[in-house]
Amino acid sequence: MSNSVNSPEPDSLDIYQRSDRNIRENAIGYALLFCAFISVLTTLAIVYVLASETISFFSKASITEFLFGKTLENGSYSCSWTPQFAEKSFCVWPTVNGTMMVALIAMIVATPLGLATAIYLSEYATPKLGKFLRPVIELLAGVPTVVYGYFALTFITPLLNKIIPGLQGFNALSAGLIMGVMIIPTIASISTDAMIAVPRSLREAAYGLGSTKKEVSTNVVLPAALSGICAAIILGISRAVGETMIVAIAAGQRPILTLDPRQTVGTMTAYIAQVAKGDSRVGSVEYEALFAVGMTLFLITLLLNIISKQISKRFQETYE
Amino acid sequence: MSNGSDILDTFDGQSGESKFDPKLESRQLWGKIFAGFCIFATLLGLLVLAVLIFNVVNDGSSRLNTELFQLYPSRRPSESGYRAAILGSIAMLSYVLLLVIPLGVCSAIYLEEYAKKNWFTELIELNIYNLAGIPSIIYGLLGLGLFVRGLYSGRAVLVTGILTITLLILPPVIVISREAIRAVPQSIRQASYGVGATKWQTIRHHVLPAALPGILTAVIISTSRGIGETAPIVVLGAGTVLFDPKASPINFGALFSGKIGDVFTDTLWSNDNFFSVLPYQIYEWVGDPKAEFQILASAGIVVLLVLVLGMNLIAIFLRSRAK
Repeated sequence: MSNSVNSPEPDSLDIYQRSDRNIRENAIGYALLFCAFISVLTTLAIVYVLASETISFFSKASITEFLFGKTLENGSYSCSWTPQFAEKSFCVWPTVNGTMMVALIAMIVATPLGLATAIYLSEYATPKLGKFLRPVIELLAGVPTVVYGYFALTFITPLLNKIIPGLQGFNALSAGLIMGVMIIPTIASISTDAMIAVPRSLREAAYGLGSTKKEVSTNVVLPAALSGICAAIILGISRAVGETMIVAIAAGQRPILTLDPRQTVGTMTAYIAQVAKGDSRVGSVEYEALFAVGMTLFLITLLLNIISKQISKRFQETYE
Repeated sequence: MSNGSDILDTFDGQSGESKFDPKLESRQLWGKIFAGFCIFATLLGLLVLAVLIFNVVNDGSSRLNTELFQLYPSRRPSESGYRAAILGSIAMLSYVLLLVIPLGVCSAIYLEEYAKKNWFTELIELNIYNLAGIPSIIYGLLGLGLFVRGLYSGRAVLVTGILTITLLILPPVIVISREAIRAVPQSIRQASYGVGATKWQTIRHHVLPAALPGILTAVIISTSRGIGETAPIVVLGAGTVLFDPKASPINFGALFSGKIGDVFTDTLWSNDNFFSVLPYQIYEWVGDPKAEFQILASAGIVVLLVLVLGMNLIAIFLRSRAK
C-alpha cells in the first residue's frame, strides 16, 4: 500500500476513495459480520430443534399433565415422570423438584462462601495477592464436572455416610455440596467486580466515622454492591440448574417428589443424559420427552440469565 | 487535639445520659472473626481442590502407567485403557481450536471495531450473552438435532462432536476476546489511521497483536472447558469405541497413490468415524459397579486434570506476562 501513498497524484486525498481498497475493506467487514451472525444462527437452531420436537411431544402427551399432573381413574392425584416405563406418565415436577433441591443445597454452600471470598479479594487482600488468588480460585470452575461427580460419589458420600444416618448411595446432599464448590468462582468473580466498583469515598466516609473494616465491608460495601451480588447469585442458580454430570453421577436418576436431601433424586439434566445414553428410537415419545425437558430447562435458564443481566446493567449504570 | 479531647470530655461528663458506647473491643473481635471467616472461605475451595487431586491421584496411582495410553476399553478392567478416548480428545481439541479461533476472534473484532450502535448490534450482543449462559447439555440436544441427525443421519461421529463443542465455547471466547480488544488503547488506532492505514490494516497490524495475549487466554481457558465437557457428548450419543479416531482431513495415502476418488474415504468426515473422548470414557467407568473400573476412572481423571489444569496454567502464565 505504501506506493499508493507515495504516488505523485495531484489530488492525493482520493487514496481514501480508491475502489480496490474499499472493496476489500467492505468485504472484510461483511465477512466479520457473518462470523458474528453465527451466534444468532446458533440461537435460532437451538430454538428450532427444541421447539419442533417439543411440539411433536405435546401432540402425543398432554400439556396439562406435563405441567399439573393428572387425576387417576380412582380419583387420586398423580404426578410422576416415567416416560421410559410401559406405564408412561409425563408430569415434569419430580425432575424439577430434584433440580431445585440440588440447586438450593448448592446455593446454600456457594452464596456465603462466594461472598466471603469476594469480600476478602476486594477488601482485605492486597492488590498483588488478589491478582494472584483470583485466577487460582477460577481454577475451581475449570475442573471438569465429571471429576466433581466422581469426587462427590467416591469421597463426599462415604464421608457423609459416617455422620448422617439414612443417607443413600446416590443422594441430593453430596451432589449439592460439591456443586456449591463448583459455583463459588461464579459468585465470587462477579461479586468482586461489583465490590471493586463501589467508590472509595463511601468506604472513607465510613472509616471516618470510626467503623471497623468488617463494618465497612458488611454495612457499606455489601449493600452498595447488592445489585451486582444479586446478579451473581441468580447466575449461580442458573449454573446449578443446568449442571449435568455431578447430578447424573452422584445424585442418582430417580425423579421423585421429595424434600429429603438424603434421598436419591433425578434432575432434568440427569434425565436428559440418562435417556440420551440409552437407545431410544427417534420419534418415540420418550425421545421427544428429552427435548420437552430440554425446552423447559432452556426457558428456566434463559429467564434467570435475562434477570441477572438486567440487574447487573443497573449496577453498572449507578457507578459509571 | 485539644478540641477533640474537649468533646470527649463532654461525653464523659454526661456519663449515664449518653447512649454513645463505642464497644470497641467486641467490634474489633467481630472484625477479626469476620476476617478469619473470609480467609477460610477463600481457602476452602482451594482446600477442596487439593483434597480432590490428592484423592484421585491416590485412587488411580496403581493404574497410572503407559498401558493406560495403549489399551482400548475392554470388559476386563485390567485390560482396559484410554487410548481411543485420549486420541479422540486430542483430535477434538485440535479441530475445535482451528474453528473457534477464527470464528471467535472475527466476531469479537466485528462487535468491537465495526458494529455501529443500533438495535441489530444490541441483539447480537444480548444473544451472545444469553448463549454463554445456556447449559452445555442443551448444546448436546442442538448437536443431536442439527449435526447427528441432520448431517450424519443419526450417527454420532467425531465431526458432530467437534461442531457441537465449537458452538458451545464460541460465546465465551467472543465475550473475553472483546474485552482484550477493547483494552487496546485508542491512541494506537489513531496513530495507525494517521499514517493512512485502512481500518483492516489498523486491526491486522496493530490492534490484534496488542490484544493477542488476552485473546489467547480466552481461547485456551474456554477450550479447556470444552475438552472437559461430558454432558453434550453423552447427549450426542457417542459411545465406547475400540479403534483410533480418524483425524486426518483427507486421505493422504489415496492422494499420493493417485486414487483421487478415495481422497475422502477413511477420513475425519467418514460416517463410520465414531469417537469417544476422555471425560466420556471416565463417565462410563465411574458408573460401573466393579471397583477396578473406579480405579481406572480415577487414573483417567488424573490425565484429564493434567490436560485441563495444564491449559489453565498456560493461560494464567500468558495473562500475567501480558501485564
